[in-house]
Amino acid sequence: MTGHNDNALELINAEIDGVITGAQRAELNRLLLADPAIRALRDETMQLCRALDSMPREDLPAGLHDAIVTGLPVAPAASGTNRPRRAFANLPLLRYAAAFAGGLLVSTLAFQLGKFDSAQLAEDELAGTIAAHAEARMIVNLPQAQGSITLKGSAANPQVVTSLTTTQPVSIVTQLHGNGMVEVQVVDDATSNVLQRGKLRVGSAH
Amino acid sequence: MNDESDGVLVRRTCSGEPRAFEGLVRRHEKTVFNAALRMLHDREEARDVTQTVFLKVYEHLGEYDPTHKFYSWIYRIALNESIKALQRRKPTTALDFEAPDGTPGPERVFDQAELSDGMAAAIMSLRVEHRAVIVLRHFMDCSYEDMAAILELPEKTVKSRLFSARQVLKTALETRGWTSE
Repeated sequence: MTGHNDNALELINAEIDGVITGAQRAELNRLLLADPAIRALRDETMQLCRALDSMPREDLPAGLHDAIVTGLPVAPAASGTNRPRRAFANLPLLRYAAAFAGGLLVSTLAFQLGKFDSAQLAEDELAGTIAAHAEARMIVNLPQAQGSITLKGSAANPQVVTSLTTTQPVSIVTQLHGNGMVEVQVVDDATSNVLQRGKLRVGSAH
Repeated sequence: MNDESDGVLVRRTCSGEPRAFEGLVRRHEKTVFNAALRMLHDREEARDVTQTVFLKVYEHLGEYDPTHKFYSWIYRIALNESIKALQRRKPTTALDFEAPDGTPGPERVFDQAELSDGMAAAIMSLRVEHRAVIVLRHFMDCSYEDMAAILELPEKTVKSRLFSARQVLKTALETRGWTSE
């Protein structure tokens, strides 16, 4: 593109983006009057941008908001500090997938046995509103493990489905609470540190 | 909660009110999801990216520099996560979005649905750096200054890239038969 057209292109885009100055508008008007090719370029670019701006914004997929909020760890990291992690051994949790590492792990756990309530997880610990959905997913995006942990089924018979790629030994620790809620922890086997914690819930309402 | 600024909600979250974070999620989730959707052209991947973005934001909230705009920070994470998702794809996936060939197609009038589908496919045919500026400007309503901050590029470079991206996109649409008449 020539320097002449570069200048015209910049002026046209400045006009479209609403940042054109008075002097630039005068210059653009002069170019438009003098050159039909620049008029065509302006019309085409304007129409393109109108088409882009008129593209519909998609609604959020059902359940995504709740999945985001309920999949959050219990508390964010404080500024400039390393948040202490509680070791899983100190918690009365079910450890169902011990020490797997390297490659992809896909597994399903159905809570048929060992269902218990715990007062340890108080409602005020919850990071946001929990709603009942047919499926809730926690994304895991850690240096040690990547993938997802999904809670499916019903409140009476929840199932945890893991699909994780790991680079070092981690455990998935779960605790079933009442009303179809499952607390999930990803634990570093080498240090017993909880790398990620979330709460997932399914319900019979949907 | 909805009237509170992003900065206030960030401070409240970091001060031990995790429920305040839901206000930030509610405010930005639709924009983040739509940006991911335009970058990836896949609702499931966009859904996962959106969830990852807010997880990362939450976990790194203590590192947020309040002298910068919060949405610039979250949009940068959204773009980076979308690009990571693209890089994880198998190479054959990208072929689905290439133009049929390099020659202009027959000109005809598109209805809105066809135009949206054609536009989405044309956006996917752009190089990632071009796609990113189109998404930032037209789907996230970012100014040149915002885009420069998000992409960590000089504003002049961002403008030049956006103008080029629009021309490439126009050509991509023309190969699909789109006309500006």
